[in-house]
Amino acid sequence: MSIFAQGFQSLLNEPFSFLLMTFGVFFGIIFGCIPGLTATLGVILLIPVTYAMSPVMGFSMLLGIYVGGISGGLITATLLNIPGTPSSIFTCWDAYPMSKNGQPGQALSIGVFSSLMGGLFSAVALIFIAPQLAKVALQFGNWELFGLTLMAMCIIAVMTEGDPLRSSVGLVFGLMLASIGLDSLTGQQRLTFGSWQLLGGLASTSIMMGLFAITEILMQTRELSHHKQKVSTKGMSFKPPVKALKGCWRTMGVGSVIGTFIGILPAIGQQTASLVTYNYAKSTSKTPERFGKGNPEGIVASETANNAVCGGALIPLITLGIPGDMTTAALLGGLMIHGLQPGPLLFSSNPGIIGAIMLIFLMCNLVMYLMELGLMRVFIRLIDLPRYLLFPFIVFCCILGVYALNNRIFDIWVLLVFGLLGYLFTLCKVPLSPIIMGYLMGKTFEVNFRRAMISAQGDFGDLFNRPIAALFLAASILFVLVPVGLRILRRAKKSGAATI
Amino acid sequence: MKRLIALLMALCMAASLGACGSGQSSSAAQSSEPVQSADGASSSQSGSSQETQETAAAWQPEKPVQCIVPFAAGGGSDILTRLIIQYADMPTEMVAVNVDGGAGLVGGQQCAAAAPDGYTLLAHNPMNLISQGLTGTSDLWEQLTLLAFVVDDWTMVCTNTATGWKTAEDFINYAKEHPGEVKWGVTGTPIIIADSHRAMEGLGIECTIVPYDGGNETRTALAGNHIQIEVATSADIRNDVEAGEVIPLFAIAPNRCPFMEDVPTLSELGVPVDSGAPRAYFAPANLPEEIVDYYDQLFKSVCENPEFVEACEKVGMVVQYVGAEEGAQRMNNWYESLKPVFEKYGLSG
Repeated sequence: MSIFAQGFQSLLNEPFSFLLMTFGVFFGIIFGCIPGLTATLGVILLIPVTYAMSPVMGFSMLLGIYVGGISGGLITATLLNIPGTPSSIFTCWDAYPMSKNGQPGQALSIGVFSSLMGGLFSAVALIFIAPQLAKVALQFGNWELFGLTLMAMCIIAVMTEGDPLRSSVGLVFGLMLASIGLDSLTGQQRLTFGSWQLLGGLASTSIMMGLFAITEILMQTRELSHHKQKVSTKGMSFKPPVKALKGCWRTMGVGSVIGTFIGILPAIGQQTASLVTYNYAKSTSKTPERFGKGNPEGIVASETANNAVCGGALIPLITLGIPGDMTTAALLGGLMIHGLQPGPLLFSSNPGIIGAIMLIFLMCNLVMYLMELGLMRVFIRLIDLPRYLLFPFIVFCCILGVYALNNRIFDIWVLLVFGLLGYLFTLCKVPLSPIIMGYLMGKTFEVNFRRAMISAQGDFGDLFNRPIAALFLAASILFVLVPVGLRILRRAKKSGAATI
Repeated sequence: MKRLIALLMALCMAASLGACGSGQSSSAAQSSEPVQSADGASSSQSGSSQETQETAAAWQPEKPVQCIVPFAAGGGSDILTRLIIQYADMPTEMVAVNVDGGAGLVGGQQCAAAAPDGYTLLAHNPMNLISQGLTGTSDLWEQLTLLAFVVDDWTMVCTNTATGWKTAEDFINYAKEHPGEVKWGVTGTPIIIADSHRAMEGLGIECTIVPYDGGNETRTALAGNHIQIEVATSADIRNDVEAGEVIPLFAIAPNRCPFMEDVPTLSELGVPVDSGAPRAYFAPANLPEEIVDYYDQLFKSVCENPEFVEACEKVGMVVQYVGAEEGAQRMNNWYESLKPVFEKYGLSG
């Protein structure tokens, strides 16, 4: 608990953090509710702004964006049937019908309240699980980290939406990007093509901003002139919907647990959590036929789960340095810029920061709830902010941010090239998140494997002396084989049925 | 609606100003100091600076000098450079520019590519340059002129509390009885690996060398007892040694570390290895003599300032000025003595 006290202390020492938190949540909700702008993008864009801040202040703002961004998506999902951020896809299914039935205020307030409950539950989980996990994580050696990253990559390859083969292509591309530069164990040059500009590898901020911001803008400009719906806010009330939530408490609990757990698993995030919870709620419901037609339970399932992922995803980030979803991947960059290497040692070397992160996350959820209740009308109007003003400005911010990080024009070229590459990948339906995950985990994966082999003097069998590592390896194999096996079985059944 | 847009734009502008500010905050923070000292130079300092001008040469910077720090902001080189900027007595200001990447090679190459006119400097570690030359990674060293060594670090061989070793003898006795069992974690340049080999051979022990990427990784591994020996810099482990979590066994250095006085050097244990770990300043190759002299004198006067020495101590650095000529000589000696070692242990490219 002393972590908590120290965190509180470091927050009190910097009262400006509270203001930044509020700004972060506000900014995050805007990014969440404007389709095309995501929480991840919001965090990436504002990381450069934190360079000049203390870590506590920087994190107040970044976590605010994270929490606000994930929740803000429900506004657009409810009113326009467009997910404002990818994690609210499943919110559309019930929230939009409900708002069409003349209860938009009700739908919104159910969503906002569910977001709060999911977020709070995961914050509590973060506070109680993370310190325990950090103790275990200290026992993680090279084999364990190798096994863990391998498992994470298998999960990404199989679980990312779309074709597993295409996600694997993205993953391998990301791994290749990670090997550019000086080999960290021997100092040899790799894939630099004789250019000293590549000796340091490619900057992760450039790659992330390129693949997410620039690519997204390129995609969206194709539909720049499309006509948009206007929303009226007349006659909406956003009172906490205690009556409507009757009978939803069980779903809320389930969503919180599933969301937090999926958040802890590396590399899969909000969408998976929402979908799993939604399906669970539907299949165990007495009235499954009401789902998809404006059932409050559907909104609760989706929104509790996707906000619960946030706290869950922070757990592996601060204890192991492995991001639990895409936005925490961006946060990882934010921590490193402030010279904080996430990992079990952070708990003893910088307990103040850990405690502050937990507290900030908790508070951001409360701020998010209050702000969405009070300023809902403002956010609804911001949905129709003209894109032709917004997009050039975002590109400008990206270029500025990438350059400010390391004072190199080269990084700007990397940004632009990756923006184009991301566009091409998207056209070929290769998902972008495996690329980023491959890039971010590639080095941990490779270096730990090589180091483990050096330690064991070249004996791979040493892995089986480490039960946790062996477990990870087994899980990796299962993650790949089970879906493939299921598909073969299904195909066999089909052809069997055909012959009969 | 319009008002809202205006509000949002204003917020965004404020945010982007923050982003610009970070790039400039370094120069802004520095400019306040040099401006002050420049004023001081014209009045009170005129005596000393004129002296150096008379003895050295007529060259003086006439526009701001850029000092490339080829590592991330907040690291040792960065902190040192910002301290020097604060205490350097120059007619124009010096600005630190962080260009991180490739173990200092990216920023280093950027400096080497600049004109040798005294307006581009580089903060770098001689041992990085020597090892990159020895492994064949880069010939950056040959494209640079040394100006001065400024501070020194100590390479410490240490252990955790789990092993129970209190002194070098405890460790050596154990390692002799259990050859190959002790895991010896290293980080930094391949010179550390070469010196580790030399130390083990000289002490008659055999351990498994495991390379890590950065002091934070070795510290985590040491805390989890995945390695029993960590080779680290004195500045990195200082706090942990005071907290009793890390136990220094011996130093690989020319002399004992001032704040770990009771820890012997490897040479005292009978193995003559004297690689230092200085931090130094460089400029592009073919820098005219009078400019080298100007900066050599500048660094010397900074190192003689007791306030600077004290400020360095606070961040765990020990000031040890070595001039351009002698420094270059030391670097050559280290290179020559390490060359056969690198070849012997298969480290050279």
